[in-house]
Amino acid sequence: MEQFRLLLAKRIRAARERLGLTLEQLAKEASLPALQTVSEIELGKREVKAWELVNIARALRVSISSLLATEEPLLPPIVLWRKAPKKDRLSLEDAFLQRCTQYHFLEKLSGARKIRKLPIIEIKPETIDYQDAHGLSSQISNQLNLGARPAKVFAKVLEDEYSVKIWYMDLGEQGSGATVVGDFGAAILINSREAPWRRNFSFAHEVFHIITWNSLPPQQLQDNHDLREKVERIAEVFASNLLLPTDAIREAIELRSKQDKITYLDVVEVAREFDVSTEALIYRLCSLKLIDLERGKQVLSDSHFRALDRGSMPRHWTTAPPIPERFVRLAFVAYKLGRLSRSRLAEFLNTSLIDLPNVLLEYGFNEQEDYEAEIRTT
Amino acid sequence: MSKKTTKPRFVLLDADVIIEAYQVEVWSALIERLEIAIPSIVAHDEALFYSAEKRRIPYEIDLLRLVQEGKIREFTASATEIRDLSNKFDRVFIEELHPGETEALALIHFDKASEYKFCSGDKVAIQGLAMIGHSSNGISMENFLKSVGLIKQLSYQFTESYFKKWLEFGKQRRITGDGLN
Repeated sequence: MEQFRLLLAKRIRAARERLGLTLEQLAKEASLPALQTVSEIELGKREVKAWELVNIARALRVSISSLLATEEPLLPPIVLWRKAPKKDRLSLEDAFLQRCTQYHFLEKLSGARKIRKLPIIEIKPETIDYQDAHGLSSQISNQLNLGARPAKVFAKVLEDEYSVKIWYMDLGEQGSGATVVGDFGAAILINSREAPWRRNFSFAHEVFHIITWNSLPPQQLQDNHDLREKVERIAEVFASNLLLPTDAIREAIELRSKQDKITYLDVVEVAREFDVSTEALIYRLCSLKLIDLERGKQVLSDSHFRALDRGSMPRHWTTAPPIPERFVRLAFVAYKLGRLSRSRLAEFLNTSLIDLPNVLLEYGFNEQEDYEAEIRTT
Repeated sequence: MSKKTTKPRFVLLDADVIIEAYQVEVWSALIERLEIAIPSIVAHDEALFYSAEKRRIPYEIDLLRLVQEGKIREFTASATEIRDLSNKFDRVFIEELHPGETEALALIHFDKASEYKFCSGDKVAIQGLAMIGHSSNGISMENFLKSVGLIKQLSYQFTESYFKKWLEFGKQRRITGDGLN
């Protein structure tokens, strides 16, 4: 018992120091009565009470099981950030990884099967170029059957058919997307502050990292700045090609152009139609040589064009879901199967037992419904 | 002939029972007529009882206040007991439980609430109780309400038949070892 107390003390101290929290900050975050309490716990002088254990685990963004485990937990996988947030990076990473683990746990409990696997592409870091991005985007678009307006279905296909875990968090003004591949599969983190079309671009960008995860591992990209810069540019080209397929975009522009001209309004509408930003569209038009690069830059800095762009946004704006719909669905199925307690369901859905029925209704689930009725398939 | 019911004076409540009692308006009567205890995690987990509509925890079920006023009791398991109890189950099953339910089972198993019957409307928690061999330490909400003369229409999960069904299921799992280490 003494040995376990010391082990727990060591793990709590290590987790606190990793996040850079002071004893006082942890005491406050975990609603512990005093700094002294944390100090005694970390010195192994005091038995940790059950409620303190729960609060400490939450404050440190670690699972209770990892604090109580007999064996030392494995190191978490590396999260590859496009642009890491300036504040609370580790804390956000931990929260993201915890959600990925929960997501995978729900997949197992609910019996969800991973139907398909995203391809793993073998490429050589030293020779990778934009041509690879073109080829890969076509390959992925065909394999995932994304059609002529890929952004409309991309996230759903990734989640439902390829079990890619997509999570949205507020990453501040600076933070952008991140990717991780672990025991739980592949996962993407998106800044919930981003506009929907920017989020779509982020999905596509991060998918490039997923399919090249083995060839371009995160550790290598973190250690090699030049390679990192190059790969990021290629990932942007991949995303652009994937979301704006050559034939579809040419056709959309041709349909609207009169005497080789297209109006600002039409450019904005095409961007909305493809669910991408106007910047992404214009740069794609430049790369397809449908407009001149200098002219494209001028358009993007034209206040009239900007006003039209902003004006169309509210009609097309969608908010990032606080919890992915698929995650809620899996949690609800696990609960109905008797594989998840109701309090745990509420915890997973970030709500209280009081508000749980309403939260479920918002996602289209009614606890009182009979979900066991079946229909025979032929 | 009326059906005989057990008459527990001491009940250790899971969070969902507290919410149901509050919603069917028997909570105040319960804490007057019975010795109510709650696991410390349930007492301190304010997120479980927060009402978005009221923008706070409803006053009547502000559990820490009730503990401080001596109206209900808070029982605490230690981290060591939580670990020892957790080790009885396989890793998947323990993750299916809310930590408050794990603590309730630890309190029962390590005899820290020996006079108390555990009451839950949760099938996972009810199974867990039976899986560690403490079926006789459980009671349905319907049953203990009857024992103190409170008859209310309850959601199905708080009825005696629901409780028995999942207790039986848990007993079978105890025999087969499913979910246990």
